[in-house]
This record gives sequence, C-alpha cells and structure tokens, in this order.
Amino acid sequence: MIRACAAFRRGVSFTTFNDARVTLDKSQFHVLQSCKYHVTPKNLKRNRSRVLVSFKSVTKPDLESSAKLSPQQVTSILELEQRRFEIQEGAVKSVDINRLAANDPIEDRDGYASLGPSEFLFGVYDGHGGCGCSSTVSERLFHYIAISLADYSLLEDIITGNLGMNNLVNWYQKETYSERSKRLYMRAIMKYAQESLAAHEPSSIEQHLKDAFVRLDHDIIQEGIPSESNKEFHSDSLFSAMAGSCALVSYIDGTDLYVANLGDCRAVLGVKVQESEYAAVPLSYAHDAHNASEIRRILDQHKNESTNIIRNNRLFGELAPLRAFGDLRYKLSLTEVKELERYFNTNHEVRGYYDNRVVPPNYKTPPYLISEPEVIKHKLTPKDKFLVLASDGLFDMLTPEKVVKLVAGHIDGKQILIDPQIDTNMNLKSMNRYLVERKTKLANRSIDDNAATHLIRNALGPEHRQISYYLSLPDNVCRTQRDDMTVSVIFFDSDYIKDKNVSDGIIKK
Amino acid sequence: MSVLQCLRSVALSKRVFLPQSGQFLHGRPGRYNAVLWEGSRRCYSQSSEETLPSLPQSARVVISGGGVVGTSVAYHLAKAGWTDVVLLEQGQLTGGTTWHAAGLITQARDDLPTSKLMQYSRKLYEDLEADGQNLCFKKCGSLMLAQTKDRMIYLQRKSQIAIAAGNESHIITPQEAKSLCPLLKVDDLEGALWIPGDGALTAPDVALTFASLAKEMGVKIFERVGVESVVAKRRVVSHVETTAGKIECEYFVNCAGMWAHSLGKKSKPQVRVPLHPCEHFYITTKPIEGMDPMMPVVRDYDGLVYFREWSGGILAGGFEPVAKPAFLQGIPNDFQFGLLPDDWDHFQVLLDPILHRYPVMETANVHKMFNGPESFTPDGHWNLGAASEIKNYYVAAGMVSMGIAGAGGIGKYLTEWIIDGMPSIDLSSHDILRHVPHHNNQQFLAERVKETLGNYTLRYPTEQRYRGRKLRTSPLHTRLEVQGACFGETNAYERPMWFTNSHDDYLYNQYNSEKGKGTFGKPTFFDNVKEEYWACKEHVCLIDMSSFTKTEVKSKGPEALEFLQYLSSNNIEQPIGTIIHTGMQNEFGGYENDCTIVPMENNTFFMISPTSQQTRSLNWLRKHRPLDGSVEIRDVTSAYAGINVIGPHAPQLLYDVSGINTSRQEFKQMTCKVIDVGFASNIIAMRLTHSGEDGFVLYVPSEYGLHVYETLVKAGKDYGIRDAGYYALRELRIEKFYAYWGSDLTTHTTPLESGREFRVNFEKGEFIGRDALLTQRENGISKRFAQFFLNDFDYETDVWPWGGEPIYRNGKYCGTITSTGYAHTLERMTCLGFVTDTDSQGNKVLHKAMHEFILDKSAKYEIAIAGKKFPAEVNLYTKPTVYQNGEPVFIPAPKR
Repeated sequence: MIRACAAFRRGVSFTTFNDARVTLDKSQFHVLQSCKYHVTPKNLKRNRSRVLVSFKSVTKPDLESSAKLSPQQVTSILELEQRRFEIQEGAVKSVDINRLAANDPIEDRDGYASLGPSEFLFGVYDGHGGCGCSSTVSERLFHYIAISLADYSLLEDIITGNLGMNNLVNWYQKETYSERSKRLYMRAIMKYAQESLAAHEPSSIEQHLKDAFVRLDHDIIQEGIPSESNKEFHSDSLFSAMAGSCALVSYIDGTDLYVANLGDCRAVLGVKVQESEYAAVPLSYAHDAHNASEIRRILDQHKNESTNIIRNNRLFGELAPLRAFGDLRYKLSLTEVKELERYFNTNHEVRGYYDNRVVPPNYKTPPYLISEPEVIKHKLTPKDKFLVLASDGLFDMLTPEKVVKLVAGHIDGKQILIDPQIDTNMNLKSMNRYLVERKTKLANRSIDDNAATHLIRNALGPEHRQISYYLSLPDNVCRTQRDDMTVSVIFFDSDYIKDKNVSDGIIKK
Repeated sequence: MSVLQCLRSVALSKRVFLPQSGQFLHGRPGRYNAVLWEGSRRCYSQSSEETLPSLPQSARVVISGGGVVGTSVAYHLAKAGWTDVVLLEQGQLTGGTTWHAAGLITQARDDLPTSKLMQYSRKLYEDLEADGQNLCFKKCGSLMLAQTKDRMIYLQRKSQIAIAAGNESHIITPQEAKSLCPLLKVDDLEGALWIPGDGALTAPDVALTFASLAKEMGVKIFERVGVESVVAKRRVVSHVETTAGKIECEYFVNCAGMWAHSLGKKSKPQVRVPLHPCEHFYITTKPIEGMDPMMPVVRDYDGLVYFREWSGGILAGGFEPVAKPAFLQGIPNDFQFGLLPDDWDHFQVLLDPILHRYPVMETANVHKMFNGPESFTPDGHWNLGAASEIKNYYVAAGMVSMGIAGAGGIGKYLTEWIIDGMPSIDLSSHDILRHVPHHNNQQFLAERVKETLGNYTLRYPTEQRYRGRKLRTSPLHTRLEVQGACFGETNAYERPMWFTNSHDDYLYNQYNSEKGKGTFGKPTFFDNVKEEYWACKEHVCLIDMSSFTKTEVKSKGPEALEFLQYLSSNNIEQPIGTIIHTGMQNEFGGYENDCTIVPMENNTFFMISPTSQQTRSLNWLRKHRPLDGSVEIRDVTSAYAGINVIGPHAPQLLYDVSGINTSRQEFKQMTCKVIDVGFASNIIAMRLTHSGEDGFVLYVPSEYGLHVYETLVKAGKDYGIRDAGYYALRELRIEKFYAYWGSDLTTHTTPLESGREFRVNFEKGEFIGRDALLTQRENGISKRFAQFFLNDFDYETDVWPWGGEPIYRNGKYCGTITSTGYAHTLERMTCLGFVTDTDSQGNKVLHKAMHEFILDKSAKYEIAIAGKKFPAEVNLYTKPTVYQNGEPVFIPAPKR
C-alpha cells in the first residue's frame, strides 16, 4: 500500500518542496525512493532526523491549483488499508479501522485481538524514530497484558507449554514474526510468566495493565543494550530500543472499559446524550507539553532542571511525547548512555548513524522518560455508542468533539440509506417531524462506508482539492504537513451492555 | 436488469394504481364519485385487445396521444368540420399524465393571450358540465396568496391582466381570504387574489368527454396503437406507420405528452419537441371532518404549494425549488396509469409550507402520495404550433402542469392553426418555433427542467434562468465577462445585458441561483445602464451583437432575388451594398420576420434577423424556397461575430482602425462595405445601428472577432470607448420609438398597424401578404403602435412597467404594453404598445385615419401598473429631440 501511495506521489513535481521552509538535509532527499517495511540503518538515520524536524505545517494547501488526484484516486488511496472486524460478541459490535501513512514507511502500528469471549484488546501505537519500536510493541504488548491479567492456572498452562504464544492472544488480523523475534519474544514471555507465577498476587486491572507496559519496556531496553551479558544481542533490537513508540490500548471485559495510554494518542468515547446529539468524553490524557500535570510530574522528578528539560514543547527539545516505549537514550543512566555512544562510534555496523549525539544535552538525572501508562476505567452504559482510538495524526487535524460528531453523523447516515418508513396511520405533523429528522441525517451521509475512513477523509478535507493536496505531497514534504494517522472506531452493542448491566444489577430493568 | 426495467417492474408490481379497483376515486360520495372507469364510459376504443384494429387507409389528420390535449384537438377539429380525423393512443386514453392531474382550473395567467386561452377552457368545461357531461367541474373559485409585498405586486399585475381579459378578479385582504376559506392560516399574509370564476374538476373526465364527443362527430379513436414513424415526403407529412399498419394523412399532430420528445425523433427529418418529464408530487388526505366540498382552490405561491378539496379531504401538492427529472433513460412505452415510487424525503420541503398554511392537516392522515411524471419545457411555456422541420406536422405538448386548465383553449387554437395557418390570438410565447436545436438536447433539458418546474417561484422582470446556461457564447464572451458583463440568455445565447464594477453584482449575475436582489421597481442596474446610455450618446461604445441570426441566401441566377422579393414587403432590388430594412409578412400581413437584407455581390444576400428568430426566420425561408433547389439558404450565425460601434465618435474611430473614409458622403447611412479592420479582413461593415444612433455594425468572421474588438478598444481609448449592453440599446430604441420583432412586432401585427408603411413597397409586384396589406390600406386599421410617456411617475419609488400592462383610453381597456424603458434624454418613463379600437360588443372598429383616433385631443390614456393607473401622454412619431444630430432616420413625421 505504501508503494501505491508513493507511486501516486512520485509523479508530483517538487515545486512545493521549495516553498516549504523546512530544513531537510540532502541525504533525506536521496533515500526517498526506498520503500521497505523493516528497519534498516538507512531508514533509521532518515527517521531519526525526522524527529528533529519541526512538525508544524508551514505551507497552507494551495486550493487554487487544481487537484492532482481524481476523486476515484483519492478514494482508492483512502480505502487501501481500511478494514472492518465484525465481532458481534460481548460489548463490541464491530470495529472499523484504517490508517494513512505520512512517513515512509509508516511508523504507526495497531493491534486488535480478543482474550476471551467478551474480552478484547485494541491498541494503537504511534512510533517515532522509525517503526522499529512501534512494531515491536504492537507484536508483543498484548502477550504481556495477557500474562499480567492471567490467573494462576493460565500462567501454569503457559509455563508448561500447554498454551503457546499463538494461542495466548486471538488476533483479528494476521501477525507474522521472524524466526529470531519469535524465539526472542517467546523466551521473554516465558520469563515474565514464570516471574508472575512466582510473585502472583491479585491486583487491580489498572495495575496489571501498568505492569505489562512497564515490563515490556524493560525487556525492550534490556534486549537492546549491547553488553556482554546480552548474548542474544542483535542490532535490530538496538534500533527498536533507540526508536520509540506511544501506545494506547483499550481493554474491554464485559462492560468494563479500561484505556491505558502512554504518550500522545487519544481515546474518545461517543455518548449519545439524546436523539442525534452526542457528547465527546475523553478517555485519555495526551502526555505532551500541553498537559500541565505531565510537565509538573517531570519537573517534580527533576528539580532545578526546568530550563533544560522541556524546550520548544519537547523533551530536551527533541521528543514530543513525554511518556513512551523505547527511546533508551532518555532512560539509561549517564554511564550506560555514554557506553552506547561509544558503541555507535566504534562498531562499524552502526557507525555514524548517531554521530556524537546519543547522549542528550544536560543529561543529569535520568531516567527522564517513563513507560508507565495512565489508565482510565469506564463502566460502559447503553448510551456509550462508540470509542475512537487514534494516533495524534488524526487529532492534529480534528478536535475530539468534531471526531465524535463525524462518527455520530456517519452512524445516522448509515441508518438512513433505507427508504423512509411511512406509516399512513401517522398524522401529517408527526410524519413531517420524522422527515425533517431524516433530512439532517441524510445530509450527514458519508461516501465512505467505513467510519475510520470517513474520519480520515474529513481530517484531510473534506474538500476534494484539499484531500488531493495532502495525498499528493512529495514524500519529503509530506511529513511536515501531516502525520501518520491510525484510526480505529469501536462500535458498542447497546443491547448487550444493557442486558449485562441489568444482570450485573447495575441498572434496573 | 436495467434501472429502467427495475423501475418499471416496481411500478407494475406495487406502485401501479389499478383503475378498476376504484381506489383512485375512493371514498367520494355523491356527485364527485365519477363513473370514470366503468364499462359504459370505456367504449371509445374501436380496437379490442386480442386482434389488431383495422385502421382506415387514410385520414386527413392523424393525432398521436389520447390525453386531454390530443382529445381536445380531435374534438375541436371535428367541431370545426374536420371529421376525417384519427386519434391513436399507444395504451389507453388518459393513461399517461392526464389521469393523475390534480384538475385545477384557473384563468389568471401572466400574459393576456394565455389568459384568454385559459378563459376559453374554463368556459368550455362549464358549458360541457351544464350540457350534462360529467366533468365534476365545480366553480369554487381560486385564491392566490401573497406572503410578501413583492408577491402582492405580482398578484396585482396578474389581476390587471385578468381584468383586461374580462375575468372577474379581486385583490382582497387576508381576513377576506379567511372568510372565503376558514381553514387557512392567514396571519402571515399580505393579501390575496380572488378569482371567483375558477374551479376544479376531475381531470380524466375531461379527456374522456372530449373523446366521446369527438367520436360522436365522426372522429375515429384507436387505443393500443402506437406510432412507429411519421413519414415525410419532400418535408411534407405523407403517412404514419403504426403498430397496426399505415395511414396516409395530410396532417399529423403530436400530442404525445411526455413521449412527444421521442415521438418527434421518429420521423425524418427529426422534429424537435423540447420537453422533459419531471416527478411531480401531491398528497391526498383521508376525509377531514367538516370539509366544505366547495372550498376554493388555494395557491400559496410563496410556499410553492397548492390545495384543493378532494374526496372529503385535501389534495395538496407543490412545485419544489429543485425538481427531480424523471426517466433519464427514456420513458417506457407501457408506462400506463403508472406512478413513480414515493419520495417522501424529496416531498418534505413542500410538507412544511402545506402544514403551515393548513394547520388542520397536521392531524389528518395521508391517503396516498401521487408521484406522477409531468412534462416541462426549457422556459416553462407550452410547445404549440407547426414544427419547422416538416410541413403539416403540428405539436401540442409540454404542458408544464397546466394541461387540464389549458387543454380546451389549446384544442381550439391549434385547430385554428391547422385550418387557417395561424391562431386568432398571438401565442408566440408558446410557439414551438421559439426553440433552437440545442433545446432538444436531453442533458440540457434534464438540467433546465429542474428549474422550470418551479413555476410558483417568484420571478422578477429581468431575472434569468440559472440552470443550463453558458451554452452559446460569442468569441468576445470571456473578454466581456472579465470586463464585468452581466449576461442574459436569448435562445441559449449569452448576451451582455449590462456591465458592472461591483463584484457582488458580478457574482449575482454569474448564473447564480440566489434570489433576493430582484425588484419590480427601479432595477439595480439603472445607474450602470444610464452611464452606458450616455456613453452611446456622447462618446463611443461597443456592443456585442454576435447573437443576431445571420443568414446567407444565394443562387446562380436571379432566383434568390426573386425569392426574397416574394417574401419581403420592401423592395430588395437595390444596388449592391444597400441596407434594406424589411418585414416578411404572412398572408394576413403580420410579421413573420423583421430583418435587414443586404445585397452582396453575385446574387448573394446577407440577412440579419433578431436572435430570437433563428428557427422561425429560417423556417419561413425554407418553407417558401423554390422546390427546384435553385436558392441556397445557409444559417451563418456561428460564422460571424457582431460588434456594434455606436456613438458620435464611431466614424472617426472606424477610420482610425480601417483607413476607410467614413464621412457621411463617402459611407452613407444604410450602406454596407467590406473592409479591413486592424489585421483582419473581409469584415462586413454596415452603417446602421439598431437604435438610431450613428454608428456601424461590424460582422466579423468569428476567428477575427477578438482581434477586431481589441483593436477597437485600443484605438478608442482616447475617445472614451467602453462596453455597453442590451439594456442600454433597449432604452435608446424605445425612446426613439423603434419596434423590435418578438416584443412589439408579432405575427399578429402588420406594418400599417405598427407605423411602418413606409417600409412596404406595393409597387414592386407580388409578395406574401400584399393583398392583406392593400385591404388594410383601403379599409383602414383598428389598432396602431404608439409610444406613451407616463405622467406622475416617480421612477425611484413606483413599480415599473415591464410589458404586459393594460392601456386604458378614456377608462376603457384598449391594448397592452409591449416594451418599456426609461428615456434618459426625455427623462420620462416610456412604454410602447398597441392601441385598439373596439365597439361595445368587442368587435374591431376600422379607422382610415387611425392616428387621428389615437391623437384625439380629448382622449385620456392611462397605463395600469400593479394596481395603480398612471396618466400617459401618447405619441406616434419619433421626437426629434432624442436625436443628437437632429436628423431622424426612422419614422419621419408626415410632411404637411
């Protein structure tokens, strides 16, 4: 799919590039054509410097010029990665997902799986400094959560090998691992399971989720450090740990909804307040420089460093999210980081990719970056109609309120496709009222069947020339205008929620 | 399965209403329970379903279409003594559109002839009802409501026309409206128009009555016989091929309703019948307690909706702002008694105003929605008259939701048209010859009818259609658009009407649908046009005249001259390069064309006719051209751009760019030269303008158009050159008392009546209409074209005349205004129109000295404008003061 996108973009002249007042080094310009998924040092270097580029868009879409893409091309690009999982189990009716790349390759990842009949895990991961970390997290996090949540007998099954890694989590999309990763992951999981079993004590779900995050991050970092003790060391692991990733995971068990957030992805719940009126309830707080309590947390942990840590709305002027997986440069002790820098300078395989900049400036009291997520619990009610999980690429373009409004309109529009149900026993006044309601719903009718695609289309447009502009940007300018977008819209089954809440005695019939 | 088949099967499976079930007239007790579908009245057909009917070998007239129009034409032909008539219906009588028509009968239209036609219909239906024919006609009157002050002006204009036509009509207050129809909500109304003579009836009964009466008089009616082709020999109707065999005939009448368009294509050459069906919606409610069966028909124009009593409930429908064209893939022949699927979502825009006006309907239950296709035309007028493509091929179709109310009159006047060659009233606004070929383009029609269905939408006098625009444009179009031209459309040709500097005006005029800037009073462009007017008078202006119809007539020998001499009432035998203004008269002396003819070299004649005349003037030429093919007639409209260089500096400017001597001695008025302008050659330069100013019209081969325009603009900079539009031209010519074809001159006015006798040459020999004109000269005339200056008229605040206003002479209605304009030199509001003298019985009184009757010092003239009568000063000769150079070249005063 990236290839297809790139093909559309390749025909585009670079005139806009000159207008964009962005400092991009020449090396970036030459690697544009490479289009590979897995992390290579070449990609890594390019992507690393991207982190340093100012993300703010500096040119406005020039709508006077005609669209480079036809409406059909736009739709086919937008629909390339869209998918729908018809779940119809537990509280979840279906999940609409889609993503759109800005980086090449895309640094966002996502994951959709069930742990049991009414237990679901949905995750969105926004990588930075390449996709190494985000893909590792997306492949492994659910296993860690499964283990963290597992009871005694399940843990035993895992350890005895009765329950393999493939059966621990039921993915909705197919996941394939390389032989090396499979080996590595398996060993780490077994170890985690054994330790969990040894120190098994019941705890809150929130805590289990936090544990899983922290443990995975710990493992990623340990695997990535090139030390004597690390016998399995491979440069891929190093690159994964050098890169970073935000993560947003929602865990649904019956009608309990937990959202664990690490970084700047967002979750927002669409609550139907009354007919055709929806409220947007945020279920996460973005961990970025706009979040005052996050800033306070960091400054409290690192007293007297206030002038150095957050600069230009970024950690050390470099990193936008203030919590993340990976990014070991901000997590290791000063000695370890210096060691790492030496490794980079001496080892020919990775030599030159980080130059002398592995150690962040003013690196005094590490760690500066944590991997403990914030977890919000929400008890689902029949009024909760859908949950949107998305990377910041979407929320850069749309407010949470607008997102909820768009999805609500999409639901209404979808319902409206059928002919009006005219009951001749209705009097004309009520009939007219019914028709007027339909009219607003009809106006919301989307051209996209998939709600996630609908969101992405509206984030970029919805005016055709504007979408075309965003989709036909040359690769090197693209990232300055928009970010990778990953969107998943989880639709809830209100009837199930109602019945479950009744049987749980939470609400009366 | 195609969409069409799908639609059809839907229609057949559940939507088709089965007449036999009686559902259509369900629940109507007593008098209105028509026996429409019962055996006794279903015996019109001379065919049976099993065997093919045996058609007669020949008939004088074959009518295709058994709806209300076809049967009315058959009835009227028979009544006029033409009984050798065959009517063919592809399905069953009334099965197309007639059966689902709402049956509203009104006489109030926006112009006098149509009002007269409708008046005849209504009277006919009333008489038939009185004769014992069961049309369910009830004379319940009709109420037309106004929600705004502008709508009141509209109703007042309508009322005046109704009064002039002899219909009782009253402007009433909202409270009076309430007392006439207590169910109405009236607190938001400005007033209403009450026409007591209007009414409603059951539409299919009209057609069946016509059919039955026609049959009694000898007309043969065949159902389930479709027309396969209409065959012409030498462009004259010869015979009709039908599904049941061939019929030789002299005349063919296409009354096929929404099928008329495709039926027109079933002949060679194809006959253009521009119309397209639209979905038209109304609902009927279940009976409402206390409904008065004699509730007036109500038209809430601003709500776009209408109401009538129906089976104890209310029938309510309307004309939504954006209509839905139907059958984009063609109309199935077997769409009989069919309805289209309900579309409540589309109908909702009408449901709001319906419930608003009739609160009682809020609690009512709907009985049924009727969505029946009806035919609409590009300009919202009917398609009537003789087709230009084939002789003796007549059309009456495209009823724009006024078929039932119009059918009686249409039958009468189309019969006159067939028998006499012309109807006795001026129906030029409905004449099918007003269309040009592109009007038949199906995509254009589908787009335009979205707008023309909205016949309740308030349209201001200078308002343009906004859908299906920008089709024919001159080579200067884009340049003029940049200059701020606001365009108007005539025959799909975009003509600059006026120029603006204001971006808002520009946007408003760029085919924008936004309403709200229109007015019945002083137009927004008044000051702009005034500037253009004075620039034409004092400096020099360029007016794009590319839209004019240009025709080339030539022959090897003198045949072309003989041919034109026979058609023209003026003498064409003039030296090469002479410009001859001439009329082309019909046998009654009326104008079929008013044109300019120039003899060029080698028996070639260049002819200029008005833009609106493109089809009609060519038709008139082709109709009379020698059968031996000796005369070649070519429409060269597209080959030339026309640029009018007008104003006192025009001669000097033309000299600057062409180098030719433009002095009055060397380049005389009413002469023509072929010159070079700039780098362009072969430009036909005529020293004339169509408004009496000095100047030239340059006919430039299209590809040089822009070059010549730019050369003139560049060279004219120091002369203060600027662009002007048609409104400036109109004010110039109305002030000078120039008549234009289409607005003033019609098929029903002669040169003697319009004061143009000096352009008729009786001495040159025979020409069409000579006898009629001689008779007029001998016996006198009963009407005369006159100019009026309004007194006590404040052009800033009063409602303006826009044409169609009645003229009163000593308090008695004597004629109608045809064109109006503000005379900037005289500073008077000016109207042109015809004054007719009639006796107390309404018969025309002939005058040998009509000017004496008109100029009679004791005669007091008044013009009624939107309910107010303004005293007017009458005039018959161009006022010398309006000429800058004091040398009138038109309508000279008689030498005494």
